[in-house]
Amino acid sequence: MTFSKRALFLLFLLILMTSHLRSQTYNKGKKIYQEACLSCHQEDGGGVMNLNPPLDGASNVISNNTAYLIKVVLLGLKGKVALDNKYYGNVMAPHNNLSNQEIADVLNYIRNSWSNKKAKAKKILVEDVEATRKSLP
Amino acid sequence: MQIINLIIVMKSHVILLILVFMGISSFAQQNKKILVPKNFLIEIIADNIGSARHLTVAPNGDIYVKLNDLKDGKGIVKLQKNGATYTQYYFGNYEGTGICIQGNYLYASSNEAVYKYQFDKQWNIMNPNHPDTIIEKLVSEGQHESKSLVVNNQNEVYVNIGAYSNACQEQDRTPQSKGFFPCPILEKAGGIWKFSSQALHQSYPEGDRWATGLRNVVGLDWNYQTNSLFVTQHGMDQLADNYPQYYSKIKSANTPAECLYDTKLGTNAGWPYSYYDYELKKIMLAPAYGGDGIKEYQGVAQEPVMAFPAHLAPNGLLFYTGNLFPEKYKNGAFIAFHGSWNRSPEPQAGFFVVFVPFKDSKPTLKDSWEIFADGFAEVKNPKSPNLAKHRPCGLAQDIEGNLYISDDKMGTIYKVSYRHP
Repeated sequence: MTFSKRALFLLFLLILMTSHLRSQTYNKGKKIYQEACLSCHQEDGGGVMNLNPPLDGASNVISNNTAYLIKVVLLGLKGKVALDNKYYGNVMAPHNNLSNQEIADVLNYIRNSWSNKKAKAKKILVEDVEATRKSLP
Repeated sequence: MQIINLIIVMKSHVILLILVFMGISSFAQQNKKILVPKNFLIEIIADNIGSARHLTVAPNGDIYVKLNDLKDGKGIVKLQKNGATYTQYYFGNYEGTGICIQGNYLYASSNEAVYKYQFDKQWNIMNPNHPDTIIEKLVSEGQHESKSLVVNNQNEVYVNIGAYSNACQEQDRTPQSKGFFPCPILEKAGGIWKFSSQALHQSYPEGDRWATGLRNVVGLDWNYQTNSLFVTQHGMDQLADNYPQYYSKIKSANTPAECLYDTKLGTNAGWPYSYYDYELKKIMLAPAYGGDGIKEYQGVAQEPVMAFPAHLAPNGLLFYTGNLFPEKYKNGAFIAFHGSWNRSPEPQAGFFVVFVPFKDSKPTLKDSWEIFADGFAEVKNPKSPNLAKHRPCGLAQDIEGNLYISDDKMGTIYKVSYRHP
């Protein structure tokens, strides 16, 4: 095996491993989504009209303001919530029982699923969740 | 002779053509996607009018529809009848669900107040931009905020004030969170309040709490046979999400029941302390108050007149008083089910209009209800309610006895009529 062939093989392995890791994180996020989010936000991320806001295509879900998103997961939401010119009334429970890693995983799953894939939103890191959690009163 | 023959032939062709066209035009509107019983016709009379919640029909055939979201700044649609077609007019600058006609007045609700409009002798509204505010400052906290209403012929206005909570937990919709005792929400919500249709600016001090322990009622109608108010309650959500130690996801998809209650002054339907188990047919202690899916409730809670499968969202209730439909429908209840969102991993269900036959002011049999109109979703067993194309919400009847159904997803209004065979 020549050097270049060996390098190519290693590169191939590396790509395989990272994509495997990435899909593993994606699947972890998906599992948390199914347990903690799906019953309200639905399998297709479409939410429920008037009640539970959609996550698929929602402007504040794919936005760069990730601190807001993390805050919503940690604290929940209450009252009439406006999103993309529509209103939603159901209460969202705080999900502060999820670990920083779990919150990062589920948010990355949401931001990389359905039509949100196209938005190529930046990855949320465990450190981001940690920082936001610490900033809360 | 030949010419005359030709004319006759031509004439018969023309007649044939006319007959064919008449046939097409009279059948073209029959909506094939919605299944109704034999000899009933269902047609679309308006489309894309906005988020059509409840609706009501004036004696001249004009239809008034309340919109949940404002359309071009307006919250009520008038479908003015011109023979077989309707012209749309919009008025009212508030969103909401409730609307009904009693006597010469139209009543409509926002999520906080009830307004009253007066008709003139030609059934035109005299004060479309300046209604009287008869009820105001009702609790509206986002959740279950719609103020469904009915006005009977004794000048009584019944308004639903939904509980702004799922189960009155200390932390709403949160796993293992305990219930407040007593539930403070019941003071100003979670029930039906009664007001006068004749007074202005009424609020809690002027109203009576007619019935309590009702989580959220969207469908309600006055029954002139029993002289009482019937209501359809939306039961609690998310038993398995919040108490997985007691409820499997399948159990949670199938309970609590959606209940039809016959209410009198002082009726207590038990929310949030109890719920009605659809499968066990029993009133159970709610898990936020120590229930475990097995313990029955020992307190006071009225039995429902009828229980329906969980989460189907009964949004419209109408006692049929017309003479157009066959005898079995007279004084029975039509119920419009909006369709569920809380049955995952089971498919969502509902999205249909049900009929409950009544005899001697009670459902004919304890469990006897039948699907009257089905197919609004246009998909079988949708995983998510978003896949349902139409979602039935309101019901109304005109003086001829035709039935109207509204859909708040696509803003479609359906008319159901009957042809005697």
